[in-house]
Amino acid sequence: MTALLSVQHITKVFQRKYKALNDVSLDVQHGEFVALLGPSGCGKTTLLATLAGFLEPDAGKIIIDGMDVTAVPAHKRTLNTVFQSYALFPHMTVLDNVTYGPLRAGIKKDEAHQRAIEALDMVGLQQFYKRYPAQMSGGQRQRTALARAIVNRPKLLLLDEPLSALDLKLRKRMQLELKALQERLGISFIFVTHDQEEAMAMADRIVVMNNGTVEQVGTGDEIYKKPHSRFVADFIGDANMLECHEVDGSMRLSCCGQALGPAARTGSRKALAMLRPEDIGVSRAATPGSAGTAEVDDIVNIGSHATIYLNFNGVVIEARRLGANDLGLQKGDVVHIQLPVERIHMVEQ
Amino acid sequence: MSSRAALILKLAAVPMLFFTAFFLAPLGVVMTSSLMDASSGALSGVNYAKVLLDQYHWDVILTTFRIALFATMFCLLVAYPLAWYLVRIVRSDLWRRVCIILVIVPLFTSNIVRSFGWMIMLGRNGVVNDFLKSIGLVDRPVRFLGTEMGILIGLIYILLPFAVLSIGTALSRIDRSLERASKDLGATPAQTFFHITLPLSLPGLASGAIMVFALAASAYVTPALLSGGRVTVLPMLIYQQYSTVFNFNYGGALSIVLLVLTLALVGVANYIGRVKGER
Repeated sequence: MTALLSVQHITKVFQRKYKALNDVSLDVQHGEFVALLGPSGCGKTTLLATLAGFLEPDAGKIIIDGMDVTAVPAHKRTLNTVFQSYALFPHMTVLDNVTYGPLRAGIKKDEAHQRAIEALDMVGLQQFYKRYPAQMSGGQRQRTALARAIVNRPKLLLLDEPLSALDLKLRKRMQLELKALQERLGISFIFVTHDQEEAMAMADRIVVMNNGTVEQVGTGDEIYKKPHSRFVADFIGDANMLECHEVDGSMRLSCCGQALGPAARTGSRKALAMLRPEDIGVSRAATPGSAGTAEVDDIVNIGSHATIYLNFNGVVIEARRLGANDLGLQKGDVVHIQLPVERIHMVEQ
Repeated sequence: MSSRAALILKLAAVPMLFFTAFFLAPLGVVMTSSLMDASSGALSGVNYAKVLLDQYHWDVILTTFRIALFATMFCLLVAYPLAWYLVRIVRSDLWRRVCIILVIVPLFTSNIVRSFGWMIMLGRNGVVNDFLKSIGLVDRPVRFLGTEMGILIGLIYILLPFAVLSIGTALSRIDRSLERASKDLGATPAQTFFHITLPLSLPGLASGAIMVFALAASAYVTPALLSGGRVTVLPMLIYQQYSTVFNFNYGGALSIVLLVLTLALVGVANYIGRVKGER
């Protein structure tokens, strides 16, 4: 099966020098949920605008469903966008907003109306169709924007940080709803976000972008456990990046001399050992695998888990324990730490 | 009363006093004199009867509002593309500023001077007729002076900045992502303009229309200079009553009629210009 969307070597330059997109390539399959993840200014929104047809790339091709649409204007593309600001038409009711697309596509008024009600029903807004956008809450506007997009039955839906304006509780609920909706409709979603948790929670595949390039593409698990670069490791979750050096042909951690084993070979001498905070063991008593003792610098307890900042031979190490501060640690305590070799992932510097 | 309310009252007192002394009071004077019989000084509606029962006055009123209406229509038709150019097409900030200054600068000159300018340009051997002859559009010079057309040209020129500025403000306030959304939903550029941009710029169009219409209906200098005495509008009649005939009662009645009719039309425009759904 060919990909629904194929982005081939897209480059977009602003003001003749600033490369917002630099040779970006990407395939999206039918029914796939892809998250474009990256810090602000990484080019993810520019990529979305190019896909929607609001910007023309300086180089490269965009192919949707086997058709080259690079030069096709936005209003003729068979995809829809949910905007960050929702971009609901303020002078139209919810119903008029949602029927806007079908009416432009030449669908008769009665049927457009029917479809709009169905779409509104899907997002749970059926009873609000007479309202104006200004009379609705942020969450309701968000759903209206969603209904306005899916009513057109696009094969591909672009979502530009659609949940960023909602509060945390509502955002989490909408994440689940969006995911369920996507599975029900079978539409491919491309979801732009700068929130890695959101991307991990929803997407089948995550595309991590930085400085206008794609850093890594993979499932959330792959990207979390096996980041390709230091940027990805740092951006997705928290990471301890430990320096290593070679002694007698084997890699060892510089801070304690612990051997990393054969898996640590990267071919590059400037590699870093990445260890996630939750993989680091902390105990009061010495244990067989202990890498040594460290002093507690600080503890941040957020209830479900506690983050412990340790000073380990001058290196700051972040460890995380589920169940809050169950060891009753205090600043200045000395603890034993374990750095499990099998959890270490080598990252190019 | 809280100190906050007292403060608001104090702050509002100055403009309120100013408004009363320089607007409401004179208007009251005009109103009372319009309700008095010129000879006896008794309260009566004789002035209004004279205005409203005379066909001549209705002709003048009709001319006045016809000119004002056409001036408004043409102003908006010319101002919309101009405002569009300033807001949407000009990319350089410097050039935009120059353009805005060019639009505003005529307002710094006296109305009289500008109207005289048009008198010269629209004359038999004026620039406009020379140009029309040179491109072969006409054989004999067109008569502009002393026609409604001449007055219209002068008024449109003088009132255009008001329309450009208010439409430009409305256009620049439209969220561009709405137009993107419209295109995204399959609307052609023309459909996007008529369904989204135009309705959302309606408040600017309405306020521009109201300003232009009110100023055109009450304009004295431009019609007086460009009419050559051949066309009469209501403000000219009012001026005559006050300055030549010295009938303040009759002049007052004419003024109030002009005011009421203008307000009525402005009210209609205001109603049309509301954008639905905005709070």
